[in-house]
Amino acid sequence: MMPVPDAFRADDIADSVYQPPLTVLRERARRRTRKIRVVRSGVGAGLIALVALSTPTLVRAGLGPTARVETLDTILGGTGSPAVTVFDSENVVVTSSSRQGCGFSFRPSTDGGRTWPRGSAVFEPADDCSTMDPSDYGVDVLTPSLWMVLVEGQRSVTSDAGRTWHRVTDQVSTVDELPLGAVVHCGYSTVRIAPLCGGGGRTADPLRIIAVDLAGHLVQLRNAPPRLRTMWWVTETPDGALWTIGDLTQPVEPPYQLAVAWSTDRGRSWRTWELPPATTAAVVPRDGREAYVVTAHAGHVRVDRTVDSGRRWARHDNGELDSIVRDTGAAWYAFLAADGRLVVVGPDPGAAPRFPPPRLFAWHGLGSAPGFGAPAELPGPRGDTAIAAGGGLLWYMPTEDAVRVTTDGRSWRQITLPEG
Amino acid sequence: VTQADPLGELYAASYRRLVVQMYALTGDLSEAQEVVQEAFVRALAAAGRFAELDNPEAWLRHVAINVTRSRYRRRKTHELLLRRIGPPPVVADNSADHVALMAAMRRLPAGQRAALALHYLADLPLNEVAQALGVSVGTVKSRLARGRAALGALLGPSADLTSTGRR
Repeated sequence: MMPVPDAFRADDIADSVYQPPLTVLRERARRRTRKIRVVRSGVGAGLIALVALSTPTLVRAGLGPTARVETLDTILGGTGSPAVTVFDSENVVVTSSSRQGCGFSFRPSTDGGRTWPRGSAVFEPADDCSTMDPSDYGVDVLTPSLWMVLVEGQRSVTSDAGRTWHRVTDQVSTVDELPLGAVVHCGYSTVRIAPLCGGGGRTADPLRIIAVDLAGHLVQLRNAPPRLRTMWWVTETPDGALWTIGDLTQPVEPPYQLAVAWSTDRGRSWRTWELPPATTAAVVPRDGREAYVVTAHAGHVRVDRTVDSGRRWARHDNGELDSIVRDTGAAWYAFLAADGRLVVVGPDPGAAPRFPPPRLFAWHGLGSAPGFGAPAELPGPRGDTAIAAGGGLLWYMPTEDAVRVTTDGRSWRQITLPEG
Repeated sequence: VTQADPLGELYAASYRRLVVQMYALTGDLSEAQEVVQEAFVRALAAAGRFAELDNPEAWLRHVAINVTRSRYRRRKTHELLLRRIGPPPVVADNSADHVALMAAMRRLPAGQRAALALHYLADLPLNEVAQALGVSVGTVKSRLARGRAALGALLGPSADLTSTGRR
């Protein structure tokens, strides 16, 4: 017997609701109003400012800590709040929806966000976007100067930080291995989830890896990872190795049948290793030889590590990380610190503000007692959300209009987002 | 003499109620909080016009529902992925009955789910459900009937919706 009203106790639910101070929402509204005003009159100013932009140093994704924050108001949520991509200690790109203008604005910093160029690089496809389909709209900041946008199904790329844009035709060159400097394009920041890198989630879609070369042209790898039906994400390491995780079966139902796949010859050939059934999983590679795989299922987290390109995997699952996933259902993150240690952080306070502040677990090696050291709490006030990918953790602080960044799990630096 | 702050008072009085309503609709507490906050931010950004509304809470609810729909549309093509990569929905109550109910609600068609959620779970009268969803009262009744049948099939015949919901 299940009386539905008993299964939905509104008063109890209301007690668990997080209610931020109204001042926080007032500040968001104030920033939004300011941004609307700037964009309404700012297209011309943005174009003028493009001339004055210095050329950012091209850094291939994977060479430095590449991390993103997409705020709770996603950049495509029609709100104009920014997305932040941090490539290394110097290069940061803040992307906003131009909102009234149907396109995007970009603010690249080459000194780690200490200063910002005056005005924005703007991609403005049309004067009137009232009839545009907002779901067919996205942006991928691939490197500090290589950006790709999708508007109404049409892709455009700039390889010079927005000075010039060219339309990408549907013709994609097929290659046996990714050219040096090409960056894998997994998807667009259209929604606050990790984009699907290949397979489209449907069996009819071919599994393929697409990349953008230094000239802004699309290339497609001839060989996809064998056995995989989808790829969740493809990570490139500084030595050119490619790592991914994907489904072995479709349709998919949790727990998922997954495998990690990797290539040490830039996609010419692949190896795979089947994972235990999991509800979430991540691969965190250091290079073509060393990688961690973190899987979670039924409140339990397991870490596997290889140092010989996947020939052998050492398993670690003594429960140190279980508190991250137990009972919360909130997001957690893993990244590789600059010294090579795996760092796991969770749960995300933005996703579950009633839970304790997120804690940070750092791996302390593979000696006689491998495992994670005592967890540390993240410093500072609790932010709305924290999302990290590939090399660092970013923590968005809406009250300060700033993000905090760590690449080692110990020290933090703050990036104040640009005005407007 | 303190200056009146109608929006502040409304925020204090209705925020949690609206979140519960949106939680009934989405089955995700985090999502519910975000869309209600978004509705208040839009109200704050247009405070002058908001102050002229006859029923500001109904307006906030309407905006929150529209934001929910908009976000859902954007996610739709990635729905399969979202279930796997993103965290599962944040539920407000880990009891087995509650988890089962919210899981079953998520499997209903959007129109039926919204009607059931707002009427039976959030306890809104039929005319306010109709106003919030932008449909007629007759449409709401039709969706409720079909939704009850579908929910009964998912939860079993013992699922009892009849003891709540206002006319």
